Amino acid sequence: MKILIANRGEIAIRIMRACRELEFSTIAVYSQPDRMAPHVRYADEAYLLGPGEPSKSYLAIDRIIDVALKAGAEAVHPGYGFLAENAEFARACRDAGLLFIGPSPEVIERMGSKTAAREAAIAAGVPVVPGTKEPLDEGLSDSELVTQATRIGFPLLIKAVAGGGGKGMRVAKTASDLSDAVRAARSEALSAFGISSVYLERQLLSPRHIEIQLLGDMDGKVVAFVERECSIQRRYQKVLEESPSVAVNKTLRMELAEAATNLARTVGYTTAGTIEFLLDEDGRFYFLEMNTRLQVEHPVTEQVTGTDLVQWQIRLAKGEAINLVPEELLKPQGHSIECRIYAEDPDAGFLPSPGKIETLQPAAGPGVRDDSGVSAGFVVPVFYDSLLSKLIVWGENRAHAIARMRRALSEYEVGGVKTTIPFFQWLLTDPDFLSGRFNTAFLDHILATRTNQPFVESLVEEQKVAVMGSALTTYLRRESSVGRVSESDSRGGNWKRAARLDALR
Amino acid sequence: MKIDVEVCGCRYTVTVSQVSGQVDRYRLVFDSREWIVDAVQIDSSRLSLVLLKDGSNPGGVSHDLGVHEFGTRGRIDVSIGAAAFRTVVDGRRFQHSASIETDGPAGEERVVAPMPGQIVRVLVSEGDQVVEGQRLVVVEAMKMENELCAKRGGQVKQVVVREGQSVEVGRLLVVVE
Repeated sequence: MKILIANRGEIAIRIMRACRELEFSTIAVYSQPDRMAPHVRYADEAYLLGPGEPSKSYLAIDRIIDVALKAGAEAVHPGYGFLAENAEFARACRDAGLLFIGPSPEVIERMGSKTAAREAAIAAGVPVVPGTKEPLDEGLSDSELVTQATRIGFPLLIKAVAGGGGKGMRVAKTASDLSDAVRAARSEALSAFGISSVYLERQLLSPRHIEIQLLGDMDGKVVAFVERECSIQRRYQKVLEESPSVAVNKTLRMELAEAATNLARTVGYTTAGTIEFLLDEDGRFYFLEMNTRLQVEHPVTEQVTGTDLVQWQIRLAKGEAINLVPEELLKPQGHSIECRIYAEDPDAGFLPSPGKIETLQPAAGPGVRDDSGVSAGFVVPVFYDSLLSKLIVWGENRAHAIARMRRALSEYEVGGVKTTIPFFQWLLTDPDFLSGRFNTAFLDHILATRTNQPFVESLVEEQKVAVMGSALTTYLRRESSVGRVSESDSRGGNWKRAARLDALR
Repeated sequence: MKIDVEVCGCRYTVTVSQVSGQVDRYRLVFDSREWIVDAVQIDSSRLSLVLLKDGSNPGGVSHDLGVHEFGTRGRIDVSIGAAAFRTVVDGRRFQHSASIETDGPAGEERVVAPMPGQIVRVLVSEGDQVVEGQRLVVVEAMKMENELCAKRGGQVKQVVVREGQSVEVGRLLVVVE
């Protein structure tokens, strides 16, 4: 089978690796600035889509379908982001006779609408956060709005029906905030998703974000995996994930798994997907949303359950039946943590840091997995998400995994662009993180209380070593150019060094 | 060979020479100290240093450095694990340290503590002549040492702290005029 991967970066390579293991051939697509990207070099075949702008490359449905047909692809894997949850793309694949590795366009549409997804959850008997069942009427008067809001209770969230990633979302603490917040959410939703529909939902105070990975097959079998803990978020974006969660015991794990599988069965789910829940301080959980795709953080689940979710996703699309033992998938073997290494400068307010990767030395060794999408010499484009790599560790328990992650971060070296590695080195020494006392507000809160101190301060001794490195590099370069002129230099070793340096040129 | 290196707002003049008869061994003199260093270029962007305790010692502390030369204006980036340093070799323009604030009469530099901490070392006395980039005071906070250097040359007018003293952020330490 020939599979086209309609994505870039680390996830494109992750999918191609699964394809190669299954002995399927791979087709990469790329934009002009991605010509040097590792996913292009890894693939068996590669096709140019167009310029860097996503709308002209990785979001250009017609162009991708055209390439898939010309290249003789039989299946298309969308990865995550870009077209992964775009029902129109899934439909275009189906219409072109291409196997879409993901759910049907109908399921994507249903679960992509937050209000429709909430209805499905209610139908499956899964608790949802109190809120409006239908999107708010466009012509709703302010007094009617207050009546509806008061019935739900403050503080509440105004959320875009088509939302995601914290866009089109506003908080109303009291009734007086309400009409302004609704207006702001509507206009943001319109510009981000093209649909201005919003609905109301009560805001839980200090919840955790817990999610359940699922696999479903064509026979209607659905299996759930041990939970992922994704509460470490910066401005609604996950930055570190782990499995299992310190806040989930066996009983709660069974309840979450049952709720998630019931919902997936209700909608006839036949591929890999994830159900996100909010967990309050009293251990009650509420359906948040369903992601009908592979998640960025899927590797932590793979590490603690010994499964290959991407291979399963492909096998399920081909109609294979699930032969995994459900009980085993809910017993975590050890602990896994993932850090998302972004090209961002944590010491400058996490400003994006695009540019050329001059040097790269990833972490390795026991229990370390580096799902990277870049290599030395690659210029990180300004057009896309700045994720360079996902550093994943496995340990016998949480403390072991944390120690491994700290060790791995100390090995990981990226030169040329700034990365979030120093931030993680700091986070992994935070007492609240270490003891597992956190919720979705935790990271933004502790970041707000920090002053301008750098995340990792250099020691005076290191500064001196840097001086030595810089001086010696200069000395060796100057000496070797002298050495080449006077090869008769009789001092021992000089000719040897000059030759060695020449060989490196 | 004399090489000027600027890092983190401090300037050092490093004298580098090869230890005669010994492959890969170099004598570096700077900051009123001598180091014997075993240095090997692994590839164009990696340098391995072993700092020998003295010339007769077979080994010492090992450092694995990522090194990138930009080829322009003497800029060399050095990374030691997650710590990254931008250095400038024989640069004409001196980059000021961001951690030093100056206010006061024109021509006067008031060096203040950039963070609360303890004074580890006072490297100058009143009346001393200092040059641009010269280290004045070392402050320690959260087990990290920070060097405070002179932004420009001049005479030390006042030293208002002593070693071992605890200081609050913004506390005046040294005045150079």
